Amino acid sequence: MPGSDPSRRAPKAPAELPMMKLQRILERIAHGIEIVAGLIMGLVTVLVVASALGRYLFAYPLPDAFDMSRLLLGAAIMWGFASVGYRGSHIKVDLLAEHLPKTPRRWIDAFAWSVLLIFTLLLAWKMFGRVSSAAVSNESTMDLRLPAWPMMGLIWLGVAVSIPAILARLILIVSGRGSLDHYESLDVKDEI
Amino acid sequence: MSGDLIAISGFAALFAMIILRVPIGIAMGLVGVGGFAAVAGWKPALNLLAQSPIRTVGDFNLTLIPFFVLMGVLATNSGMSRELFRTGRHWFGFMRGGMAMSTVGACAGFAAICGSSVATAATMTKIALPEMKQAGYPDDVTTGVIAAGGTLGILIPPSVVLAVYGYITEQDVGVLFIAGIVPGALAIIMYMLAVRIAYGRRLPAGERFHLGEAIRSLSGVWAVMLLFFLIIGSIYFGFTTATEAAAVGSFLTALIGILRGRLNARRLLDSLVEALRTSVAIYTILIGAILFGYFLAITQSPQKITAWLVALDFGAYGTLALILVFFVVMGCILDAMAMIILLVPIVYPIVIQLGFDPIWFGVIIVMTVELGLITPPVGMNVFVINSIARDISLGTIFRGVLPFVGADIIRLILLVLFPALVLWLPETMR
Repeated sequence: MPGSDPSRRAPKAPAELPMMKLQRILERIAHGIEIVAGLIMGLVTVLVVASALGRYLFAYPLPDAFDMSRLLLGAAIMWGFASVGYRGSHIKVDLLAEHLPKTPRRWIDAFAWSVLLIFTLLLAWKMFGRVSSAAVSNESTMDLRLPAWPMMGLIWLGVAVSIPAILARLILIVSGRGSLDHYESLDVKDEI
Repeated sequence: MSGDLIAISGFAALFAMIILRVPIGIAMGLVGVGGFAAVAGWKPALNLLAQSPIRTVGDFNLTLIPFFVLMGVLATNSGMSRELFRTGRHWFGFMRGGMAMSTVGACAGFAAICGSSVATAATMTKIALPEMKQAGYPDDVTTGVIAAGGTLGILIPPSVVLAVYGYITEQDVGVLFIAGIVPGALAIIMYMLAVRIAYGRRLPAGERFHLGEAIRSLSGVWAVMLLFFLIIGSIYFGFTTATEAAAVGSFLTALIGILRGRLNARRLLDSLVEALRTSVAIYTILIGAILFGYFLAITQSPQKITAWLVALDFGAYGTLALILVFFVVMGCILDAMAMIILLVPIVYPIVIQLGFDPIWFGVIIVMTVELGLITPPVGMNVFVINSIARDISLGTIFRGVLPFVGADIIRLILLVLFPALVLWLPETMR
């Protein structure tokens, strides 16, 4: 109901406006990331279908379809991890939080997303080491012997982008401008 | 710190974090790394983070999960469920309570192309609920049928949860899918019987049956039938792997949607984004579960739990009953996917040691998890229906599902007593 939106009832204080603008920009970035990652997922689907058809109909699977599809999908998933980290829509148990007043709930949310941030920082740090070692050791794909590290780098980049994305949600939670109660949370669980 | 103390502290930390809203996969991952560090030191523990997550997201065997999720989303967004309901109405509508039975049939049909229970329930609520209300069905019957019918999504192949079970336990996903067919068919029959037996005279009378219209209505569901037989047939006869079948299934669902004018570029893109979000959520838990698995291995927790349970001397079926009750109780806190990923690695070695078949156990455990979707306090399907039909209270919906919970328990007992009902069809594949 448009009338129930508090932002429409009274003009925002001048300090609120840049924050809302920033939130809108972050929202657009998150959606942009999702679109690119979703398209990569679509591309991988086509790649696997084309390879399966090639193998069964012409006894000729697409070279490197195996490595390309798994690494590309990995990249899509990790870029999606950034977007899910911003939206707050990871699978989580809401049972306790939902029964708490606003302030303690906010602190629980802040704790949860701080833990996520710590995990992601560790992941980015250690995964970078893995990508570097793949580059140094010339790890390559099975058929065309293409270097694997650029694709692995793309996966790592998704994790790296997740850090500011999760941090942004954490700031929104702490400042009381956001929570983990978003409808997106239900969306994600719905489809499982 | 002793191994046992580390294990107990790890489990305590895990449940504390989960209850404090930390994403389940992240809680599992942190406990996995922290617990491993407590036993083996920080360097090898942190090395797990370097190797394991990138291997998980780049694992080709797991790609079938996003493909099946995408197929379900595309089927939902291209409106295939409406035709299923219409066809069901033409075939079952003549009976008393026929529309409720049509809903069960439509849920089953939709489950055959969508591996998600909650998505099935959400879709059918939008389609079947208004028509059943208009036909004079009481609210508890209407929502109970939809909530229970929705659970078929998790069992009737392709099932995303069964696929994840197959990955965790290293069982053939194709065989698991085939094993789900007979229990799925049994569920349809028992739900229809539950409608008649439990609600009997409260149900409105049927409509007139027209054979011509009923036959004509089948033309609307050709796409669903084609997709189901193509996917399950190709897996059953060994033409394709489950992963290839999943990719072909999602590709064909998109193609059919585009050719029928149901999917445009915008809807296609929205479907991809929706499937991506769901897949990310599943992968996050899988990343955490695999890290948690290292913790379980180094503390030898499953072996210790197995030894403890075996020492209780309840016998194989007594221990199995204990495990199933444990899953039902955990279903009060966790959702279906999280439960499978978190708990199966712990109980699976026990079940195998007791001599149960891993494929059979996969179906049994998925059915048990299915119960959690319609029982309080979590009852995800019930919440989804309530979020769409705001005027119907949660209490009414929970009351409506009671006969179906009874049917589920009877079905579970039947399949435990007669494992051949699950294993007969997969054995014909070998």
